[in-house]
Parts: sequence; structure tokens; C-alpha cells
Amino acid sequence: MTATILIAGTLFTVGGLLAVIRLVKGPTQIDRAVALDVLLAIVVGVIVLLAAYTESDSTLVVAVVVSLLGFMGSAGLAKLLPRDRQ
Amino acid sequence: MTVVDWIASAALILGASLSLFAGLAVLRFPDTMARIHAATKPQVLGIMLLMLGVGLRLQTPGVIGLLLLIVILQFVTAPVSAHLTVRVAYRNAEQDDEDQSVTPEDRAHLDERLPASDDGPQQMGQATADESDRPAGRG
Repeated sequence: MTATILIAGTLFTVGGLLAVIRLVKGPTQIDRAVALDVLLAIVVGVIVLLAAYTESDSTLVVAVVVSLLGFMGSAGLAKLLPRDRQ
Repeated sequence: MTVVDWIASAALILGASLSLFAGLAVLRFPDTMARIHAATKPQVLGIMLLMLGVGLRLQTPGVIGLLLLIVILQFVTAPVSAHLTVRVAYRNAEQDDEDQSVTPEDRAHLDERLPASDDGPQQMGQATADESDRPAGRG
């Protein structure tokens, strides 16, 4: 199981770094919002992976909150971005 | 390792690799619409696979209820937030005629559903300004 955690953690790390590159480059603000969405999905994945590693359920509540926060964030960005343009 | 452990490992690695592919696609895909398409994959299928892996690993009822709650929340919120983002991306793409990410067929289909875009590109500033005046029944 340790090997699984290592492989999955590496995949998450590389995916997160690629999303961060898009977050920095992103030509439009929407690209940045999308990259943030991906990054937040990866954060939820890492929290869940931590729960699998430690075999305790105490971090899973954080995953619920973060996944809700991701929705609120992208909905708020979608509402506010058009005024930001031009 | 038992069979259940193998299945849990496979689910965890598959879910993590979906995140990697989403990061790769968000970096490499050419336009915003394609990036949004790729970005929604780890949010639903990836989270579902990860929850399956963890649920098989910690087999207690409380944990499985919490995992189901996360999966249901993602199922409900991921399409809504992707839709909101795509709507903004579509309106902005309308302003740049050289942007080919929305085909004319898509545009004709979407124009029936987005009354605010009937104004045309030149009135975009006004269309966003009087947001409260838009017809009822949408967003």
C-alpha cells in the first residue's frame, strides 16, 4: 500500500504542477479559474489519499469542505469575471 | 495484500492519474473550451475512483457515508460550476471573432438559450451592466 500511496502522490504532484503552470501563464482569467478548479480537485484527492495512508477518517471532513469551497469559488469567479474584462 | 487491497490500489492510482491527465490537458489544450472539458474529468470520475479506493480501505459505515456525501456533492456541483464557467467563456469568445473554439452551429444553438447574447458583441458592456434586467427564467 505504501507503493500505491507513493505512485498516486507522484501523479498528483505532477498534475498539480502542470495546473500551476497554466495558472501562471493563462491568457484569460477564465483559464486561471479552470486551472484553480483542477488544483482544488487535486487538493481533495490528496486529502483523501492522506486518509487512506493514515487509515483515519479525521481528514475526510476537510475534503467535504474543500469540495464545497471549490464550487463556491468557481461560481463566484464566473459571476464576477465579465465585469473584470474590458 | 488481499484482493480488496489490490482493487483499492488500482482505484487510487487511476483516480490520481486522471488528475495528472487533467493537469496535462489544462496545460496543453489549445483553447478555453477544450481546457474546461478536460478539467471536469478529475472532478467527477477521479473523485469517484478515489472515494472507491478509500472506502475499500477503511470499511466502516461512518467513513462510507462521508465518502458518499463528497461524491454526491461533486456530482451536483461540478456540472453547475462548469456550466457557469463555460457561459462566461462563451460570452467572452463572442467578442473575439478569430476565436474558433465555438463553432457556428454551437453558437446558433446557444443563442437560442442565452437571451443576453442577442445584443451582439458591440453591446457587451451594456449587457453585463444591467444584469438585473435580464428576463426571468435563466441563471
